[in-house]
Amino acid sequence: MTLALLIALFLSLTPADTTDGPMSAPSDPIRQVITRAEIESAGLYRLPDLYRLIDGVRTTTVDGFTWRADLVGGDPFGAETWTLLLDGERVDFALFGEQNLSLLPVAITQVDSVEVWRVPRVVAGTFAHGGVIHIHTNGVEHGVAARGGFGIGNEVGDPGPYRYVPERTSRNVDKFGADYEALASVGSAVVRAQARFKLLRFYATDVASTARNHEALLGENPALRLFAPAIRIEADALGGSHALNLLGGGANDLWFFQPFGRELPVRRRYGQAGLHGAVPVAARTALAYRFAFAENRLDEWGETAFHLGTRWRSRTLRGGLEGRWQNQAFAATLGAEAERTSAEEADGFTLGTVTGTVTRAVPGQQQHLDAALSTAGDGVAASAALGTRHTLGAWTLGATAALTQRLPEQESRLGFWVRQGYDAFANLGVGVDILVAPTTAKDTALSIDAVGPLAPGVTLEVGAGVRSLSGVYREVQPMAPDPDELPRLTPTVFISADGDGTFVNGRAKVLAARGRWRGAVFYDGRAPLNRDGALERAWDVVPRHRAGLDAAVSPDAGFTLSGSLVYRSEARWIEYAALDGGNGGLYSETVPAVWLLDAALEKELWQRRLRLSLLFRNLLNQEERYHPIGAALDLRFYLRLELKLGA
Amino acid sequence: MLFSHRLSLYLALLLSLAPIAAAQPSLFETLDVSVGGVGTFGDAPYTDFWDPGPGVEGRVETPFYLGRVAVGGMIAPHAAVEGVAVPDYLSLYFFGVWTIGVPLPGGLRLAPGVQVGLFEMQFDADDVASVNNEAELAAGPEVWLSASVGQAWRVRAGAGAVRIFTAERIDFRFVRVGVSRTLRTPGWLRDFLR
Repeated sequence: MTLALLIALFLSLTPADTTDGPMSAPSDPIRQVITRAEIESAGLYRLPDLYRLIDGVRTTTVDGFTWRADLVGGDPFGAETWTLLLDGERVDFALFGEQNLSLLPVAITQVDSVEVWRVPRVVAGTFAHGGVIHIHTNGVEHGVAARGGFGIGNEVGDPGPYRYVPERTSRNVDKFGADYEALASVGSAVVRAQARFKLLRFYATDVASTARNHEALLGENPALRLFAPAIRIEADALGGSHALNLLGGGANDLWFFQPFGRELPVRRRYGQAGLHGAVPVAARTALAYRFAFAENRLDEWGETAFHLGTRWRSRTLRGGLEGRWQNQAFAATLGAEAERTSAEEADGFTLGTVTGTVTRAVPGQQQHLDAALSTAGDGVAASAALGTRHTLGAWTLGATAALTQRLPEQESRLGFWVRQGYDAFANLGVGVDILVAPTTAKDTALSIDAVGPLAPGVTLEVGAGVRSLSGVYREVQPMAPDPDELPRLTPTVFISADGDGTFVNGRAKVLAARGRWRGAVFYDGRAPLNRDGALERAWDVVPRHRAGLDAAVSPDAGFTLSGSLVYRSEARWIEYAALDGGNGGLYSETVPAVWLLDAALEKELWQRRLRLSLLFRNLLNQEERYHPIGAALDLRFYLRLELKLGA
Repeated sequence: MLFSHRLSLYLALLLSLAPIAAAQPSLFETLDVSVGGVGTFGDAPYTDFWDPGPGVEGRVETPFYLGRVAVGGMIAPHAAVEGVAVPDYLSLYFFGVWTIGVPLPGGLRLAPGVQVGLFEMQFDADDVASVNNEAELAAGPEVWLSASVGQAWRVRAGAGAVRIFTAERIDFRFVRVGVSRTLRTPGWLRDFLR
């Protein structure tokens, strides 16, 4: 009935003007570009909401604040295998392989566009074997400009007046914000500077986690806070362009560390200074440089039940040079980078990487070869990706084959650091048993993609791939309940790097644009062909099917009404079987399939200086859960105001 | 579920009336400012604990891309039922409405709509402010019947219902009467809204 109603709503609002709108030119089928206009009309609230727009991605969350994403497989939700870039620079805020997009000093309103590569390629001095998510922030503007934003959200289900009626009262549920963000920029034709920050707050009070958080924080209010500032300076000099990025942040966080299966109250501090640029050295030849220093700190968040005595301090220093050459048909790069990572609690390592790319582009077709050789200690890893793209009429077809190897140093996960001497969380009474030591992991991937018009204003995107992995690393703690039915920290985390498996994936998306309307229908799926060792049950945690439709109507440039209906199939986390039915029935090893209906209303005011967003999630109020012991996210709404002044 | 079958049917009816309402004045050209009184009615178990009192409501309505939109607020006291140990509270309901104006014979106008808002409760209790104040999402249908009584004045009578999405849902029904005056939107405000 609700679906019928949604369709009726859209049909009844069909504008009188049905002139065909301009259709986007067929894009690169292996690269997805998410534009600012798409971000604004999709009703996104925080940065991890970008995952909602990335084709083929699977996500999980325990609290609704920190989101983990799986792009192309591996150890799903154990570690992010994709490479994160911010304004052309790699970001080194991952901790033991976990990438947390929330930590980035970028608010969703400060994102200009996002590039997503689902295939391996050389990028920013490294071989990105698991794809790339590249976030571009709003360009530094000429003149003086400022932006500010405020947002707040709430999930339904508070006790209301019944808080004063003991037999009918209930706990407060999650509140999002208030969040604040600001950006100021000043620029001339030669130098441009930008300063920005975001301040996020989140109250982790879902009933599924209340008992755990209450125990961990000794009864303190589980109010998470994150402050992340950044400065970006760009200059044109010596015939080239140069960029200095200073990124930082700090957070009081209930860090759900997958191998422990519990939230650990931690205080995180992180920062990165990066400088990169390129200068021409001869006709058709340029020299690019890249330097960065990053630090990650982890401490206990005040007095907690876990007495997390073990802390973490790591520093990464890297620098690289890359020569670039191109003529009319060919482009090539050759680069070298050295990276030194040190830690106060373990032995560090030095990683050296040589990369090279060759691209041939002639009318109607393009071929590229990306290759890299990495070495650390006694290990050597070689990777290569060969891609071709052909234009056949209005269609573009692409194919990519890749063979990659990864050293344990490149994954930098807990098992690696334990072997380097890190007594991981010994104060918790948790030991680490390495069953199969991390070694060079191998990956073979083949993908075929196509994009082209089906009819005027209608575009089809299709893709399929097969991926075979060996030596995949996993960390597992056999879950067991304590007498209070909370997950008990069992004495041993088992680490094994013997995961082998092959899976196939496919996707199809039809996009339509007509007059003031845009819409899309999509499906993507993945299925294992075989799996063994550490991967035997690991891929069951990933929903196999995801399908849906979304639509948006913009009667004028200042108003957009959008909605989406998405289906996600169920997933099974076998390692949580012992907790099934625990915590009053709130825990379940099966994460149920769900239909999610969302809606967003965006209105610009004051000649587009002010933007008002009203967002609704899970309007059907289904059981929207992503993790066996995670929160069930009920109907929730967000309100956001954004002010834009100046150039 | 937010969209119960009844609300879905009501919305479908509303949408079927949309073509009738298509002949609207231009976007944001006029403002209908209205004030009125509200009677609130609830059901058990809520009424076992609180007794909603009469309230007042104000709203401002303007033509939108399709139909009309309004923003408004309503204030009403909710007194504890005698002998029940719960605090009184003051409800402040801030809402937005999307409505369709359907002209009827005799200068009458029927305006069914849907409203979504935030129902804030200010408890008369000795707690910290964060506990004394609570707010929750509310949504529901409404309908108004109005008659012209002069160049720009109308008298209005309406009814509505909202569901407040607390853990234990609370349903209220409203009966409203009031007057409204149509004004031309000041240029600065029209520019701001566009």
